[in-house]
Amino acid sequence: MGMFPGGLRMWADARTVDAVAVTNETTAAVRAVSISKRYGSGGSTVTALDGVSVAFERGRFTVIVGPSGSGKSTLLHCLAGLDSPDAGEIYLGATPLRRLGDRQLTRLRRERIGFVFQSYNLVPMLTAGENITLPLRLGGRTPDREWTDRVVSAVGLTDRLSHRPSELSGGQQQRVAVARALVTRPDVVVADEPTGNLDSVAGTDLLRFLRRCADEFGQTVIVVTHDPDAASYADRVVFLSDGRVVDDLTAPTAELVRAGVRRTGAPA
Amino acid sequence: MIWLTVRGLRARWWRAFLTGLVAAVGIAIVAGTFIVSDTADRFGGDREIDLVRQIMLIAGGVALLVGAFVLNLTISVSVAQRRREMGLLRCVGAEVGQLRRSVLLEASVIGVLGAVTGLGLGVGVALLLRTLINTESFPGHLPGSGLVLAPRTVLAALLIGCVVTVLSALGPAVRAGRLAPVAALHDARPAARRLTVVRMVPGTLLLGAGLAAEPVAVFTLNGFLMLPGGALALAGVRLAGPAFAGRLAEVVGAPVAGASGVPGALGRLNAARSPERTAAMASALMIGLTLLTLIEVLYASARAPLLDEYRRDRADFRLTTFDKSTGASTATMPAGIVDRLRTLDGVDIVVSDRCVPGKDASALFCATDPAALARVVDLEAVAGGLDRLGAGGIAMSEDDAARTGAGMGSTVTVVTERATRTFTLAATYRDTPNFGGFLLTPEGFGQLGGTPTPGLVYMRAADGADRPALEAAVRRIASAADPAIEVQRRADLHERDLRQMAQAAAVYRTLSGLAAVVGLFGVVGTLVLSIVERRRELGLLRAVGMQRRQIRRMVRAEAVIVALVGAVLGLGLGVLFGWGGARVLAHSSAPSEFTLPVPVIALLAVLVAGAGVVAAVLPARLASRVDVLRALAAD
Repeated sequence: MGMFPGGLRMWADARTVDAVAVTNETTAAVRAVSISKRYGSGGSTVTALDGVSVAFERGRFTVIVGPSGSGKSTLLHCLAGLDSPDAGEIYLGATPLRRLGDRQLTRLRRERIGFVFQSYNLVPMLTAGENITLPLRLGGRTPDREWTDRVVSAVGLTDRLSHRPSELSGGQQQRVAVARALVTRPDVVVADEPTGNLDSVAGTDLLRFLRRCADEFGQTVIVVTHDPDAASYADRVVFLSDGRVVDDLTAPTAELVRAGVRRTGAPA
Repeated sequence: MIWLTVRGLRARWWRAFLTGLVAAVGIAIVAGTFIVSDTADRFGGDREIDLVRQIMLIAGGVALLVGAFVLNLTISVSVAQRRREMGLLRCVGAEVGQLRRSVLLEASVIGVLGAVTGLGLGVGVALLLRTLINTESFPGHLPGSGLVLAPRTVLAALLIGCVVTVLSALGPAVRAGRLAPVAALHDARPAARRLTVVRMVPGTLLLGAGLAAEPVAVFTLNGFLMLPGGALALAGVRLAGPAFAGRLAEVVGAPVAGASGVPGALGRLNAARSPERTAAMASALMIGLTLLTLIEVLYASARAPLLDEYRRDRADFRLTTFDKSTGASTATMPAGIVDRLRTLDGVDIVVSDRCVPGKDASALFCATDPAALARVVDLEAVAGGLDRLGAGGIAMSEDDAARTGAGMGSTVTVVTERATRTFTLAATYRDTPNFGGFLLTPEGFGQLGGTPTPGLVYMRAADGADRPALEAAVRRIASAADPAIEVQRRADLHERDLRQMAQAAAVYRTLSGLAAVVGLFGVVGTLVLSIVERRRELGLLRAVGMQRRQIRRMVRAEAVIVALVGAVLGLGLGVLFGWGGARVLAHSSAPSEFTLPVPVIALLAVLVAGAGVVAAVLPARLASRVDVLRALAAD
């Protein structure tokens, strides 16, 4: 923390608590309230999240940055109902997640959350089109043609729908994954290092597209990354270190994010 | 989810096909048996076909058991390998039940595929079976026109196929459902499964119970106890195997690794580092091997007394009167026949005996000249002298002496229908399967009220005699005396028994061999999947300078080591159960003497190692073709 020993932490905590308080349930798409998560047992316990409280407003594009081991992926998994915290609560809209059974959580993931991972996003034996409509078909729903077409054309994949993932470039595969995430009109789209495996052109492309999702579709997007440039496309950046939220920037620029990253000790 | 399963099957059709083949072998045997028995019902076949049917159904059951075992293995590996895909499906909203149903649906499709293939192969099995039935090796007769494929057979095949595959897929299906969605985010390598108490405790208990059934079966002379015992032991090894498979792989792998340098050493490490996989592959091979070893031990044990008798029988010709109505050779021959035979040229010795049963039919008392008899049948006198019997002496087998507690000079009371007399035990000898009676001199026999007219005549030709001429002369005399007299040549008498036994053994050997081949399929499939799983690692080895040839050698070493682990387990269990089986048989009507066919077992071990090399051909080729750059770039 260098320049602001102790002070920054206090300031950040105050802001976070503030955010939870002012973001009422109708505007927060998803929020975490004092969540903690530990891995392992006995002497080798690792604290991944240590009382994190953070809310994500509807229609905004938020980026979570932090060094590796800062707990950012764990936070994302908890927000998305993939992992459950040891303490605290996650609210998706008004729905508390911790007490949900597996069946309800699965339905919730299928209908209200969209996922994009760093890699292995697509089921290899299905075509791009089938991958996109997979969540709908798993739920036994017929895809809404108009919306599906709009999503597909937005990601620019109209002429690639019958291709297998192995026949697509990395960037195209990630765009298929984003289309799949969008197709159910979820409350929130979460992406874990979505540009990690892409070259810089394809990466920039994908981030621009996620930006457009928030702008054009009013889609809530949360992205975990350690790329400060990625953060510059976001409305807001949350800094995580050692399982705590240590900073929170609105309307960030790459420079501001780099400065923040330097303060929190993240490798740029 | 149905469409997803179908797409998955289409993408993995070759794997599904291989998996289906595993079930097909057992189905083919069962279906072939059904076809044969339906054909027998339609066109008329012997009752004896029932026996064939029973044997074949047991064989089919065993093949299905091994098949189920290998299916369980293959489906487990396939599910473990697809964990990322399944995790991804869970992430995007597939429910636990959907994944489980998908695995089970895939299994039943594989079952149907296996059933259809099995039916096709079943026709072949039926044709082969008919050929076998109409030769000497199997009893019965089946008309050679047309085969009957009843709807019942088709239905049974489909049903068996589905039931076996779905049962085998239950465990993997449950595990598929348990996969956490985050599994999609981690590396493709499934975490090494820890040996849970859940597996170890019942595994050890099953193995213990199975092995304990063995001495109990031997002690109580109840051979049927060994069937569930064997099944329990095999299941126990499957469950508890991972506990010792790694160590065993290290031990048996040491010479293999020593013989093939760095690739061999790596192969040994690969075999030892995933005890679960090694144990699964080894135990798949083990079942067939256990059966093969068991068959070989039982065959050797049942053959030993026959060979022993053959060796000790020095009579070139044996004349019997066969009572066709009772099947017993109790009828007598004309008294003069012995003297007439003695006059023939080239005869060394002619001995006759005549036996009467004891009153309770438990013993047979035979009148003969024991000293002369000892020249045509090597009686291997144990104590006393067969030539010193006299009118009041009796000789008995050492077994009878041990059983009755009689010692040299003991008084033996003989009770027959007509008389009761006491004799003195003057000699004991080693009995043969066909010769174990109480021996008396003709004088002693007279005291029992019998006349020693010949019942059985043994003849020995002199050295250098013209045997064909002698045989012709013997046959002439015999048919002139009584057309019912049968002249048997020494070789015919024994070799027919030995040949029949060898043919039966060949059939059982083939059936057990099928089980071993099914097990080999399991090894091939598992190795192929493990290669796919290790692509990245293989790419790395290639990148740091390993030749394709060395990669192949490494995979081969692993396969051979796994096969040898299976050999240790299978040969061990097979010898153990063979020993028990021989001990039980020794007390039954079929004589048997536990014999370890060391050369055959050594040959089996060599064959298994060879089978490992064969099983490695496809996986090794796949492994050596891994593209370095793509393997390293893959996630």
